[in-house]
Amino acid sequence: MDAADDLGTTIGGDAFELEVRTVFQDTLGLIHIALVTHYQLAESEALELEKDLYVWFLRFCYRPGNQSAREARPFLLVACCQFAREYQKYLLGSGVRSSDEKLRRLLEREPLDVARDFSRSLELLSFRSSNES
Amino acid sequence: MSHSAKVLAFPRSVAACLSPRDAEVHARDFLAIPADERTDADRQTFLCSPDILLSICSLLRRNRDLAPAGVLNEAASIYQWISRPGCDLGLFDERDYFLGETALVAGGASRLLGRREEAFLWLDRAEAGFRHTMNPAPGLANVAYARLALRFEMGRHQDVLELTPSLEASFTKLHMEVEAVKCRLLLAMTLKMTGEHSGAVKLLDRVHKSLSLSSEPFLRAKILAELGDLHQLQGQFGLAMAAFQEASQLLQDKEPSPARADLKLCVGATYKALGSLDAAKEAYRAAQTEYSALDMPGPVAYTRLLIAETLLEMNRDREAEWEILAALPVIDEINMVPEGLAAVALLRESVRKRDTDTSALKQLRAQLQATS
Repeated sequence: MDAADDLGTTIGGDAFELEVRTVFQDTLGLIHIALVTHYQLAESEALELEKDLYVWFLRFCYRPGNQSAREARPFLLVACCQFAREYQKYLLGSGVRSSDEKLRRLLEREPLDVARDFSRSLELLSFRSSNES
Repeated sequence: MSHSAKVLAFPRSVAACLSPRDAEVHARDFLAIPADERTDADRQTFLCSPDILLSICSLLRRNRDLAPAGVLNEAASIYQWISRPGCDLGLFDERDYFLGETALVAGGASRLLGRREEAFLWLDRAEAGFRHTMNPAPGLANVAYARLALRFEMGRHQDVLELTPSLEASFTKLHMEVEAVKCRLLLAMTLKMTGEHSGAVKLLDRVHKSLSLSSEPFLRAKILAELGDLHQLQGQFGLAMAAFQEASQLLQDKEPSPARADLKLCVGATYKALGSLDAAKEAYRAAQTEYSALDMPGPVAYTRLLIAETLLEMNRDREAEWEILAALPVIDEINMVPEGLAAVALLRESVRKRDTDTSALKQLRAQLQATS
């Protein structure tokens, strides 16, 4: 069970929510890599943040001017990087966790830039898999 | 969550997630509590849930044109609650988003009530909120539209003509079709005010024919009313009445609205152009009643002047004076350009002498037409 499955039952399931959930699930792999591999969160921490991200993304898609969940995906990645960054900075600032050079450099970067890199990776991955198949 | 995170209690404020239907029920429950009976506990219960707030904003947006005074009070008080120091609301950018959204609603309602300075301040607040959100473009575009609508009402037509096409392009790029249509309507209304009637008709004809706004009866009716008014200005009374008829059908089972009041005003103008003064006066009176019900003092005053002009043409000078005397105190409260102030002074003096200055009345009415 992932973040979207966990919350989907409590939210109800019209077509719009289904679309949001599908887009979220499609992006979840990349989100998880960003949280665990890059921002060095523990698996359990990543799972908790993914639940928050889903709740936020669902409401975000209901805002006026957000036409399609798929088009809103880049904002989901930015939110992911922003929240992971704030979370890690909070832990590092409190002194309970130490940082390595790689994480320190990542935390110095703007979430928007990091998310843009992740989006490019996703595009490259899609391009490769479509060419290989 | 890891042990360390549990101990440190990283600041997260995840409220229980509600379905849109449940959120709307709670939103209606909140709005049903009389404002003076609401407690901080009520606000804590309802306004700290982003799902309920999202629904409240949607309800306020829908009701803004129908009950601007009530909506302004609600939006302003919710904004104050959210903006208080230490308010911890929602996830990521949600507090900023709700600040932007409630301020935008308050700005729109202030504009409808003729409180322009207040409207500009609310729009500045809305911009400040939206600027800090994840996707600021739609909110900022809506703020830009509200500012242009204010400029139109202040008679700054060249500004509107210059800036509206760019904003329409932004809305189109954002797939915000209804807002793009509103831009085209605003542009056509501005062209009407600058005397470019055929350009305005062409623009509205295209909008009306290409429009799939079945869920937007007020906007469609407003477009038809403007189209009809332009036809009557060009002497095409048959086309005008056909457009008014279509607009009227869209609004017949609806509550009082600015669109329906505007429509009655346009019908009155057509009757007047046809020389049916009594019918014109009745249509204007019906519009005035509707504006009064909506608590819109500017348009009420403007309509009183239209009635006064009509009564003067009917040689009912004394009744015309009553209408002018009822309108002048409200006009005094509206910030007018110097030309308008001079016309007010001339008109007041002439009415005092029981010899209404019709040219001052016309000048003032024309001034108000741009600002109402």
